[in-house]
Amino acid sequence: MTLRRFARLSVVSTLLMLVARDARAQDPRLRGALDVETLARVTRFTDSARAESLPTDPLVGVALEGAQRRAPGARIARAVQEYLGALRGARVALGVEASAPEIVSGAGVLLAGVPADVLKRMRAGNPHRSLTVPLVVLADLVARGVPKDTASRAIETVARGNAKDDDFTALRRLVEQDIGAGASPATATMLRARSLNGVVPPDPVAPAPAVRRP
Amino acid sequence: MTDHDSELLFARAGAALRAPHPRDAAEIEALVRRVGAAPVVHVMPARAWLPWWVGIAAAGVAFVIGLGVGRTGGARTTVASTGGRPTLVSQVASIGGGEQSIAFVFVAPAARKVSLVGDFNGWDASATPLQRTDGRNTWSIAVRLPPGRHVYAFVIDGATWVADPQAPLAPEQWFGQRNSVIVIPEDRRS
Amino acid sequence: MTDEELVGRAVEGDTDAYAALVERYYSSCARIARRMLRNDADAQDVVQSTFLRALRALDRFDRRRVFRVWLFTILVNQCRTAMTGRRRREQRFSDDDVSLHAAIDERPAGAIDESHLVAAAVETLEPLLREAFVLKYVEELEYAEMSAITGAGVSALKMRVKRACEALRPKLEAIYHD
Repeated sequence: MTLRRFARLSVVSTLLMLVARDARAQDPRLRGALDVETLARVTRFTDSARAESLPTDPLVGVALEGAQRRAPGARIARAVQEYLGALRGARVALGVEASAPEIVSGAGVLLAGVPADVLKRMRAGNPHRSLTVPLVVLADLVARGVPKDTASRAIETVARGNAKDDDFTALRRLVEQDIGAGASPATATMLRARSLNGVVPPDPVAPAPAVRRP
Repeated sequence: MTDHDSELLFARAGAALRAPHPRDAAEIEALVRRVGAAPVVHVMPARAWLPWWVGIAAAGVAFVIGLGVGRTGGARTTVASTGGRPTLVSQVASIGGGEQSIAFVFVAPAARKVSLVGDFNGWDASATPLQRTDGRNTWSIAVRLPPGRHVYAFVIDGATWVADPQAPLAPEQWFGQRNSVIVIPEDRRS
Repeated sequence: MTDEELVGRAVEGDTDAYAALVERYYSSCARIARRMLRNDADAQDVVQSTFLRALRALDRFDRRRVFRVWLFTILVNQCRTAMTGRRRREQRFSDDDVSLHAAIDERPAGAIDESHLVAAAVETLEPLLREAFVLKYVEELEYAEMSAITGAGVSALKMRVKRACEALRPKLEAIYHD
């Protein structure tokens, strides 16, 4: 075999290897949904996530959502990149033992603008319980207009009081109800959180209390 | 500038911003027409013994009924109440591997089709259509979901994406709209 | 008819009574929403959803309370929720300042419609100051009402209004200078 032919064969087989590796790494769900360039960018992000033992399903989910909503490829790639950053931050804050759902909910909290310190404190105060539901509720409250520090303090307080997941979700529902009935989000949150840590949980069937400030 | 002059300055600014706005009349008319079509709805609050993700439907509002089962197996029925008349929704047994069957229900009498989209079906509006049940007004579908945090939304008539108003909001708005969150617990003790 | 009487009828299903409440308060709500969201279309969405939410919650409204305060509370919360999602895409205040000053300088002599410039000036304020200024000087509410609506204390609100006025003063003077 001539040197030139050998060189050409090497190049070809290297290319084939690279293409094959790309095909294995690409998530099959994305292949039909994204254009070539966006697929390559998103795949690099999911590869990084996989290498760092971070959940990849949420990243794939975001890319598929963007594809179904007909968002431009650049926007999809940016969203995946930002989500990856939030997943990383959540894992750092929650610790390496954090479960995938905790990391994903934690990422949601960071994306809502809550500082990572809140996640660290919640983990430190609750080393053995799953934080998935409390973090989902925290992110929801912030999304509904409860000031970040009020929502964080309320959820941290309730978590310290050994509340169950059902208590957090009841809190969320009651705060939303109170806001819909005209209460300020901050006041509603603090009142409902305080009553959860009291002796008797609030009766969800009773009318919402008047939360108007004196 | 004296305090009095200051007050005049800001009062003048405030008055300028109270000038009638050209859009108001049309917007008021549109809203009054819409209000005329929607009667005041008396909604019963969710009862304490239902799982947390149960909400009550009002016109155009979705609610998710989760039917969980204890680790010892067997089935348990859960009912939702709308206007005081109990409606048996469905009855399921636990599926192996921690999966749970969740009934997603959406009330939309005027819709021609409703589908469920989420991270569990690639956000594909054709993958999980809801079926009309309970007369004309209610749409539903039962979906198996593994443990973890899932995001979802409903698509009305193939075009309008809406979040579930009774569910927690996902804070992310990657593409301009928020979705809803459902958490399937790993086990029932927490 | 008083608000209380209209609310009483609306709860019983009288849609005309509810329409009357809409007509009575729409413009105020729209003014607040337009300044807070800085976008007429978004403001319309928020005001519509406020009135629809209020309609759904009307049977839970305690009629010893003031309807306007209750309605504005819902509105302000809806505005805040809408703004939370948009914060990443909002212009930085320095960009607004630059375009506002350009608009003031380029205004042709003798122009009499200052409301757009005043609106632009108010919109350069950060959200909490803007909210306080609008409630105080545009809607002319008392501090006690503002406190019930926003959830902030009266002294906090007075401080916000003071800071808003300090920030606005030079801009308003430039607008009203002849």
